[in-house]
Amino acid sequence: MSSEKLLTLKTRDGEEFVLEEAMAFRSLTIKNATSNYTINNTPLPINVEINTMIKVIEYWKKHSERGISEDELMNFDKKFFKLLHNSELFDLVVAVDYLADKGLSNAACEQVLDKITGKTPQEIRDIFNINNDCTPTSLGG
Amino acid sequence: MALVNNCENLGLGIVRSTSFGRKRVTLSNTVDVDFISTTPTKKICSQNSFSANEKSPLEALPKDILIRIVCGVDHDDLKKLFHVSRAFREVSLIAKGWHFDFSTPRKTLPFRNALEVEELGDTDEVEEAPNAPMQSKIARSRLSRKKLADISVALFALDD
Repeated sequence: MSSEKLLTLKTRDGEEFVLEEAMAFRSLTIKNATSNYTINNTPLPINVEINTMIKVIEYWKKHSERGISEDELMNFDKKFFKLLHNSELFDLVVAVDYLADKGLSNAACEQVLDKITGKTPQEIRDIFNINNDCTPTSLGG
Repeated sequence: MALVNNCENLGLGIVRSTSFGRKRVTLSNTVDVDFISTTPTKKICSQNSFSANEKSPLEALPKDILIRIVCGVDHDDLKKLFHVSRAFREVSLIAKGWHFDFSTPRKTLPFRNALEVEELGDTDEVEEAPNAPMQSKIARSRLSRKKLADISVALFALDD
């Protein structure tokens, strides 16, 4: 198409990949990093692992699609997050917080929130495999 | 008191005497001991990470993210989170201090009558948070007018 500017990124685990600049700039972190110096095809290092980055790009791609309806996006989001294991979801939450993409960050945090709301403490512990280290008598009424 | 401190440092946790917990509330303004009867707040205020041995992936999230997530729950869930683990206790107390004491997240109220909901309308926004600290909106100045007048006179007098 037109001259889409491309950006080369390098993940924490050493994987390089190329992305359209416009899409990569959904991440404020990436955007700010590139504004400070000229890249010249040097890969920009980002503190995210490739597996998580793949998920992020999948989300970005879908949300960048032209002419996609709100409903379709909602359905995509539902499916997208449903397929994630808890650990993948948390990795995503951390990565997106680092990348500073507000939209995806809010969506991901909301997913975690949904898993917490309306649950008893024990249920929350079971879902997230948390040890109960509260001393029994320190729990108030 | 010293014995209590030692216990906390060893991570044994304080098991009795609500009065101790109450006294420690001054360590951090964000901790409201009314919410819970006793907690070693000193432990909570420390920056050491929680039990390092087996952290669940959720607890391994950076604290600021956890706090952000927890700020999105409603009061009932916040109370439950408090009981999940020490890490969550700390996070939920911080969230409570920063967020819940001053605003109540919107809650879907079970309504008997559709008309009632309409009446409630905006009151959701200003619903008082349970156990919120009392605040006066207008800061009362400690200086009385008279005192100020005295001071200003003195200053000008020096310049002359």
